[in-house]
Amino acid sequence: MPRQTTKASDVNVDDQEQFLQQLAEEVSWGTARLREKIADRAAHPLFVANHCAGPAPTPPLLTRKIRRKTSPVIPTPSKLIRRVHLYLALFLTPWMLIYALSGLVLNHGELVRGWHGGKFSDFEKLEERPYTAVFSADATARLIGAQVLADLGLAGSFNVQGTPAQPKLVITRNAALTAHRVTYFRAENRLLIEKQSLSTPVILNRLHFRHGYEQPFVSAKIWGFIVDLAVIGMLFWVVSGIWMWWEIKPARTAGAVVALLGFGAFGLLLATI
Amino acid sequence: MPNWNLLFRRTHLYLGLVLIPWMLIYALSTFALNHGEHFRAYRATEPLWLPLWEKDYAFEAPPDAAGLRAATQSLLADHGLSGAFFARHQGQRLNINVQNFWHPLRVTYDFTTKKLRAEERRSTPLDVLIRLHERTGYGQGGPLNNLWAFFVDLFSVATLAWITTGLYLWWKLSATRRWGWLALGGGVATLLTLLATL
Repeated sequence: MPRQTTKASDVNVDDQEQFLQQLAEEVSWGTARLREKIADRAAHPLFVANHCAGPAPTPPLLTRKIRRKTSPVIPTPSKLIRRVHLYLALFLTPWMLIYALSGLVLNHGELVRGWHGGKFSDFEKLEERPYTAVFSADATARLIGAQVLADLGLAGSFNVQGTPAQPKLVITRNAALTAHRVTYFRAENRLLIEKQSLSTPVILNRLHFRHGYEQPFVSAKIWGFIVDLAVIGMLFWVVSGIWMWWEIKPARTAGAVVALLGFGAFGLLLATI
Repeated sequence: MPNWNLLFRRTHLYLGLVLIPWMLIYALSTFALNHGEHFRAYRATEPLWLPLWEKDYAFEAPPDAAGLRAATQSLLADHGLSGAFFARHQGQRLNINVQNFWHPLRVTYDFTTKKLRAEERRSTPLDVLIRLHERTGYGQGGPLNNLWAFFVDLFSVATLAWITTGLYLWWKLSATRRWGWLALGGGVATLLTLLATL
């Protein structure tokens, strides 16, 4: 029988790759059931073009099928889910890398601390200086903290410990890669400025713990939004992952077994420790 | 010659399936932490610690960390308590935190009065979820506690594997490269901008 040929321009390149990848997986599975599926797939134009010497569908039907499946405007649900899964993951790659590495640091805290001599997150004194600003009686601790940091050229996200009535305020300026601790001794009109020593584990942990929308700075709010995006991403990867697993018939049994193992282990640990 | 494409696709898939529960708890608890002000009403309120019992007890704290840990384990066993714990000797007090997702305990020994006091922390479902997120580390006693730490490691390593295999699988789909570069480049550029401006 003569081989049916299909013009490459008739078929979307992306669909070709996806089709060939799925086909390769299924061939490697190599069961009788799969051979039946491959026989069913013989109607696919690419399969016909490259592998099949059997009878081909009539040209008008073939043309309609290709147009429907490869429309660039309306992707199939499966393709849409795969693409969102992929692009969301690519955008969030730097954050997932940070969370993975800091997860290892947190899970092996003592070991990592040991590598850095046990002092890898200590603050070192930079300087002490007089500070004579005058604040009104109703000034809040945050307002005082913001002014002190602005005067030091350290404006940005910060936390304050203490109240205006107390003799000292501790202001921690949390930048992405460094942290400064400024202690304001109000009665003595004095500032003590310290800086946290830099190390990779400290930076990773600081980035891991950074979250929320409470800081009044645009970059801090964008970070909070990306944390939300990572949450949406993780939930979407779970749902879309289950969808894609179900679409790969050769992986259904093994996938169900590993998923059950995961849920079983989680349930056991949740109930016992 | 192994079929790398198939191997990477299957690794990506099966790691995802086995770690679904951890993915869900990390995602949901992170959302609650990221919107702390809205979820504060769903956390336990004062008094956080409910008294369970108070007993007279004689206890000598060994000076070294290993000895203190062993002695604390005996102390807990004497009172029918078990599980992962942290012990800290502070002045005239020994503070022991017994970890549990549902019912964490605080046991305090006062060396002056020789009294041992146990309290249980009140918990809401959200507190349990956040405890699941925050629990890490080996060496807290018992194989199940180490198993939890192993799953934390597995999740971290799996995330690195998802990134590696995901990049490989993306590269094999040539039709997605342009948009993929845009997404990856956009993510890296956003992170670098934030690191410089936070």
